Amino acid sequence: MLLPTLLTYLPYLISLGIGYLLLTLLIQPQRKIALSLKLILSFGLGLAVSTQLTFISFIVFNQLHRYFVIAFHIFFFLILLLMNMFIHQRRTDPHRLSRAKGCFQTKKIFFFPTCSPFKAGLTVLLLILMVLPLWYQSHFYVYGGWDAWSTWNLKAKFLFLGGEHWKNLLSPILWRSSPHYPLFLPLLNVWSWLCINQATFDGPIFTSFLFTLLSLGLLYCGLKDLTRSPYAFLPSLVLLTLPLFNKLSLSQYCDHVLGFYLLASLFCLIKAKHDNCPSLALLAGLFTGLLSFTKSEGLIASLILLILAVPFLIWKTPSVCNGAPPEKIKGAFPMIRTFLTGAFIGFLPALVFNLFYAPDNITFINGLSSAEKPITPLRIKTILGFYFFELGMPLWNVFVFFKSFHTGIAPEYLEHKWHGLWLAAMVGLILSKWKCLHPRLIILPGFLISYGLIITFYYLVNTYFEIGWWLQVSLHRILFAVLPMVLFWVFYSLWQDD
Amino acid sequence: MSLVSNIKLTFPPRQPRSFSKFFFVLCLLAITLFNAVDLIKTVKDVYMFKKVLPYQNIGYKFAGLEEFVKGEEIVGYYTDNDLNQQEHSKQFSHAQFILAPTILDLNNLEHEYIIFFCSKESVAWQEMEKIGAAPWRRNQFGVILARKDIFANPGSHF
Repeated sequence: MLLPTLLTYLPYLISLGIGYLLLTLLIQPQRKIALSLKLILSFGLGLAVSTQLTFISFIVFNQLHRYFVIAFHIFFFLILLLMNMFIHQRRTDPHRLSRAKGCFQTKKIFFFPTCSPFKAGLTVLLLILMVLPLWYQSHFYVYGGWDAWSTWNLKAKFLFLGGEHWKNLLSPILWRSSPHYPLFLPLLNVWSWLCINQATFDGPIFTSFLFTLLSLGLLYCGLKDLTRSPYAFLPSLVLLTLPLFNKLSLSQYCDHVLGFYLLASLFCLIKAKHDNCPSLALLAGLFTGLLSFTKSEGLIASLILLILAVPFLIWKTPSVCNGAPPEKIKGAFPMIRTFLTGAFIGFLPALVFNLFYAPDNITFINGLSSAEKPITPLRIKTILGFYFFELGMPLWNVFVFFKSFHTGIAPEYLEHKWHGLWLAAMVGLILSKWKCLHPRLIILPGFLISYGLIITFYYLVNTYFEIGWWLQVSLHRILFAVLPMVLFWVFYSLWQDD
Repeated sequence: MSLVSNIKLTFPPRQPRSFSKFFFVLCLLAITLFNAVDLIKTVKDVYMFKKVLPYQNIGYKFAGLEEFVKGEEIVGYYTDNDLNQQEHSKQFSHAQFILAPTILDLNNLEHEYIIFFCSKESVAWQEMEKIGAAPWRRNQFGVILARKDIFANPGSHF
């Protein structure tokens, strides 16, 4: 009982270790980052590295080579550990290295914060209490939602069990499974099965659970880091208690993976600009590149970020320049250079996949040129109607309520999907009095507007699917992916002066 | 009078210091409260489901067939159900998931192995007769795995 449990979670621990060591190498030593934030970013980075290392097995051997992937992970971990020790030794005492070679210190690479046991215990207890409903529900819906078994976990099974025939998952016969989708999540689930050597449902459940916690954790820690507000936990708490967010989190879809890397890229970009830190820009670039391997929407998001990041980094906020000694201001160029380097590295797997493996998207009809299925005014009306219905649900409820009040019939159906969270976000933006467009966070609205326009344009142009059905099954998932970053934007807008 | 003018209306230090922040915090707290009520209801529902079934079980109608299609890259899947209906489409997705990494080729009867999942078993038998296939395996849910060249490869099991 203990051994299978250990083997199920061991891959995640290895990923965390790799991510932590890699992050320690990347981030400059004088940069102070809270341990919780470092752990969250490490986990995200480590899981992405594991995905790439697993993908290498398919590129090199044309199949999954279990021992190769595990050995490669251990080798990579050891290399990173040695590099960390070496660099740490050199940083702390450059002369000692020549005197005592091989006598490395590990205590500064892995460190634990000192705080009162009562406070730490209480925090852990509260955290467990808050995530318990999600954990409980996810252990009932063990196979997740429709797209989990028909797309993401199906692909993972092909990769894990398919041997040399793994490329069958790209067959046009499986058009229902969107063969053109990137393989980040399936590869991650395959990695979670490697130690136990069995395609159990524990791996995908934990992956889903973990990414939800990472997103919410990053939302909290990111806001805490930038604003120091004691209320920084509230956006995460709202999301964690929202039933729809819970449902989509345990559905084992790729949207929360996309949501996490999106938030991570934006947070690192803002933090890099805020602190004038090229190593954080490198991390932002890595996360931006990795986004492209999560979903087709991720590819769009990463391209938008790539375009917006450069002017964002160039356009310096006065608070960074003013008061700082001139020799400390390095200018935007090092940050742009490291950002683009990171983005290039992060883009590589998506580039390889799209160039050599991905089939064409056969679920696409260009409504602009198609005579059979052209764009109709009804399609535009439906899209706009859905947007209003999804985002302005409480207004709709008020409308239904007053209508029933007039007719004297009790309202039969009141929608409550987001519980007015989108309206609250809009109110928050209005209350921020234009601070939401401050140069230090202008990339957030810039990204949201560009992303929204492109997604809307795609809904409009691709007439392959019946629009009502398509919006019904996909719009709330797109909103779910961007919701953490929207709340991050609203909260940061209001509290940025703190 | 001077006493009144000296009193400053300040929030305690841990409270938000402006109306906009205070209002936004109130909004979030109110939503959290609504969420919590709804979440408790959802968790209760799951608790009730768990009493009947320990966890969600998908594709059980196709259980047992995976070991007989193992090694086959592609098999046919025949159904007379309308896959535009969500329930039937879901059954097909379940079958594909359970039998992966074997591909199910929907309503293609050219393959050596074909899975028949029909509204009535008699429909499956008629179709098998038409294409010259014979049942090779049948599970308790009436799903039949047929084989076309069964007479060339004796040793079948009904």
